[in-house]
Amino acid sequence: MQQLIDDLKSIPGVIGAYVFRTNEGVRCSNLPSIFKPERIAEITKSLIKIHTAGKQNFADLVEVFINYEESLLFCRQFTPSDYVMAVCDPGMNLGVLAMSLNMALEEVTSRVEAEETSPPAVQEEPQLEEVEDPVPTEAVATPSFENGPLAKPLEEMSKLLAKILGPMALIVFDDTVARWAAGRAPTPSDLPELVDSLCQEIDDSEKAKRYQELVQSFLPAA
Amino acid sequence: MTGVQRFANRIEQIKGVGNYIVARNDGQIVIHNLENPEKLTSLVTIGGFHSVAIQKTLGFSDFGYLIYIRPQNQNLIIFALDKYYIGILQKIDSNQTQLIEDVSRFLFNLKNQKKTNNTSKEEEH
Repeated sequence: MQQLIDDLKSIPGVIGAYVFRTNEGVRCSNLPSIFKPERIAEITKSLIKIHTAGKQNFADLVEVFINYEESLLFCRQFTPSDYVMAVCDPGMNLGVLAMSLNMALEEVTSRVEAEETSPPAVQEEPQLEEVEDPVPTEAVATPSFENGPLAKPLEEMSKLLAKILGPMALIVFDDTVARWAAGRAPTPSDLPELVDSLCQEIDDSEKAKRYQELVQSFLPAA
Repeated sequence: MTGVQRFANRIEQIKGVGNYIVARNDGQIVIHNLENPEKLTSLVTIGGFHSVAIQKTLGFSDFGYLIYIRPQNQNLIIFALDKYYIGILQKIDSNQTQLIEDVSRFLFNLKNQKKTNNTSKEEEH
C-alpha cells in the first residue's frame, strides 16, 4: 500500500495520498503534515459518503474528483473495502492522474486480492459515523400565475428582486413563489407573506428593507 | 416563461449538457429534464452537501465542482450556486473540460453580476 501512495506522490501535481480501509481507518498516508489525522478522518467520512452515493446510482462508477480553488481531491475504490484518496494541485490533468493510478493499482490490486483469505462477495458498506444527509423531497410544482389578479404584481416583484439579487433572482423568485403557493390558491392578500419569504432569501437586512420598500405599491393596502 | 425556465434553457444550450437537475440544498427539486429525477436528486444533494463539508473542514475558499467519472465520459458533474446544486449529466463522449469551463463561466457570471448589482446599490446609498 505504501508503494501505491509513493508511486502516486511521484506524479507531478500530486501533493499526497492515503489508503483508507473500511473498519480499520487510514492504513498509510504520505500527505503533508498540515493534514492532521482528525481532519483526514473528517474528510474521509465525506469522501466515502460521496463515493457510496455515486455507486448506488452508477454501477459503472470509476472514480470521483472534487475541485476546489486550492486543491483537487480524488477518491477511488480499488477493493471492496479499500479506497485510495489523493490531494492534487487544482490544475492537475485528470487523465494523467487516472492513468498513473491504473498502472500503480494493477500490481497492488492483484497482491491485495491474493492476501484476502475470504474476500467478501458483496461490497461492504463503510462503517462510519452517521452524518445526517439532506433528504430529497418532491419536485417544486411551479404554479402558473400568467393570468389573474396576481399576474401583474408577481411580474413586477420578480423584476424588482432582480434589481436586488441580480440574475440569481431567476431561480430564487420562482423557487420561493412555488413554496409560498404550495397546497393553496394564493390571493393578493397573501402577498405580504411572499415578500417576507423573499426578504429572508435576500440575506442582507438593508437590501431586504429596500426590496420591501420597492414592492410596497404592489401589496394590498393594510 | 419563468425565470427558472430561462436559467434551465441557458444550461441546456451549453455544449455537452445531456440531462440536468437543479436542487436546493435541502433536496427540493427546482427544475430538471429527467424522466425520474428523485434518485439523481439524492445524489446531487448528497454529493454537493459533502463536498461543501470537505471545503469547510479543510478551510478551502471555493467548491468548484464534483465529478462522478463513468465510462465514455457519461459523467455526472455537480456545481454549487449559493444554496442550490446543479447536476449535469454529460452527453456520451462530449468534451468534459470544455463543458466544465462553459458551465463554470456561466455560473461565475451569475454570481458576479449579483455582487456587482449589490455593490452598485451600496454605492448609490
